[in-house]
Amino acid sequence: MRSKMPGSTQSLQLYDLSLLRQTIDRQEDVQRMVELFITSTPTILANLNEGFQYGDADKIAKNAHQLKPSLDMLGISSLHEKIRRIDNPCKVDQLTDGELRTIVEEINLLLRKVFDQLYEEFGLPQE
Amino acid sequence: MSDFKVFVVEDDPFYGEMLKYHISMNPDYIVEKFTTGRECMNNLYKNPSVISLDYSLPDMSGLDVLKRIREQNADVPVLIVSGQDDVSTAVNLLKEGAYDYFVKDGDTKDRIWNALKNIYERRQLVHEIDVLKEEIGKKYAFSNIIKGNSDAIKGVFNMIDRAIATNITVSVYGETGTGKDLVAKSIHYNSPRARYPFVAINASAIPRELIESEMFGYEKGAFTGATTRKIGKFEEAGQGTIFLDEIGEMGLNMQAKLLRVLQEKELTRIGGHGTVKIPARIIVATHRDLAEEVKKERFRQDLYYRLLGLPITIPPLRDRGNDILLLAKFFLNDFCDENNMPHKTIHARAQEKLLNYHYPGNVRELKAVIELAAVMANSNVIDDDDITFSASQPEPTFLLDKEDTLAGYNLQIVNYYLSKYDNNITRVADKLGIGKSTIYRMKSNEK
Repeated sequence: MRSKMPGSTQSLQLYDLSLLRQTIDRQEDVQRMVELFITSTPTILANLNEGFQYGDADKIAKNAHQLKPSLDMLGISSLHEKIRRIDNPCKVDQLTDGELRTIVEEINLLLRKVFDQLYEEFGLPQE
Repeated sequence: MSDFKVFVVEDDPFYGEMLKYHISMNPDYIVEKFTTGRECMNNLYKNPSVISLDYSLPDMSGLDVLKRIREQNADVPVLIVSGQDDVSTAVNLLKEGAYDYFVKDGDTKDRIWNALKNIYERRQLVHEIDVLKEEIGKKYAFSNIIKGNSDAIKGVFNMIDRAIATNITVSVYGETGTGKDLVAKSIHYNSPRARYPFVAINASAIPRELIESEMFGYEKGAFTGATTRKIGKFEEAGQGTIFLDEIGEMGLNMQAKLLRVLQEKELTRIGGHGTVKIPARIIVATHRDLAEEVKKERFRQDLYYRLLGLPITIPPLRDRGNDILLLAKFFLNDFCDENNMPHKTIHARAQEKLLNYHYPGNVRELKAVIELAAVMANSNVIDDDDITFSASQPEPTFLLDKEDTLAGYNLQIVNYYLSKYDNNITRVADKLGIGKSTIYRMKSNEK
């Protein structure tokens, strides 16, 4: 169940770190993994966006495929289905341009919100 | 420090780090992470124990990496981790030799953990088996298992050496308790077949109606009660050695079936149709004189010649002279060690008593006599009173076994004593109350 973020923000928490915490017991290691997610994901996301920009289904699928396990591990359930709609070139080809655009934009938007929430929860300095 | 190395090959920095962290929680594992197939290939010289391989890598596909790993090291288990839930891909990878295939989801890390645990445990078992095989090999080194310095036993060592060097069928003859099984094991565990099974079957210990199924196995439904297929001892031996003990006790009907298997080097399980190749080496043993059994038509002549191969005759203990004392001391020390007792010595009177007994039960009997003496002795010296034999002293039946001349009987007696006292002519002359020159003359005439 999604919970309210502690602190000032009233927006819904978009991730669930329980699976990550089951895997990694020490808080400082959880923070290290979150930082790794925040630093590595933008590059993958940029590649996915580039694939979309140039109509490259393979590139879109490859980067969606790469994002998938990280999103699952961080419990970002709102992207669970969306990322799976574009994790294979055949699936991408079956989408209309509009559908593909919507999915890619939602992924970008949601991930930006996830980053913000993670920055806040872990007290990380935003670049 | 453990040498169980796990390679994690994963291009996603987050997922790769998470896997590395999770696997590293087992202190027995040394984990290294690589982000490309090429990086993994360049590090294969480190001999990883297992590789967790992401199917989608930036520089080459998981299938290509798997094939190249197989080319360099066909034994390393490779776990494929993929984001694709694609059955055909999984089947293809398993066909190419992947150990297992996992789809990335919330349970993947646990399934990888379990797979690693299984591989680690199997590796430990294989290691333990190797150590045990090495131990068995050492245990069955001649000097460790067959003790003796007499000429008679040295002759046996010589024959064992010859048996080891080839695949010839070996027939071991000897009275009960002489250690025929130890000769068979010495040959097996010192031969190139040592890494394959040594399977023994005692023809006298299995009811005649069961021996065929024990030796050749049977198919499901071959007879009432055959609810599953069972392989026989010949198949179980594989490329190892099958030791047929007390072959002289085998019935004629079974002898005919055995002969066919030995001739064809293949068998058909009871109730089966196809044949199974039998590459195992054959060693047989008996306490009977098989040539005599052939004459009495209790043993097939054709099987006798088929099995004869390299005959090794183990001398009875009474013909091994001072080996009796050497073995007695060995058994005594061994028994004291096993029972946390201080080591004991054997008094000269007890030694004399041991040397003068005929040992119908041979080495097995000597061992029992010594162990009993070790228990009965009131001090750390075993005296003649502590030595108890179950059988009475021997009748000189060896003289009466076949008719001979008086000179022939005399020579038999002298030879018996020479063998018993390691060719110590002074001692034999003293024991028999004759001059040394008489012995020299008799031996000279014998030649």
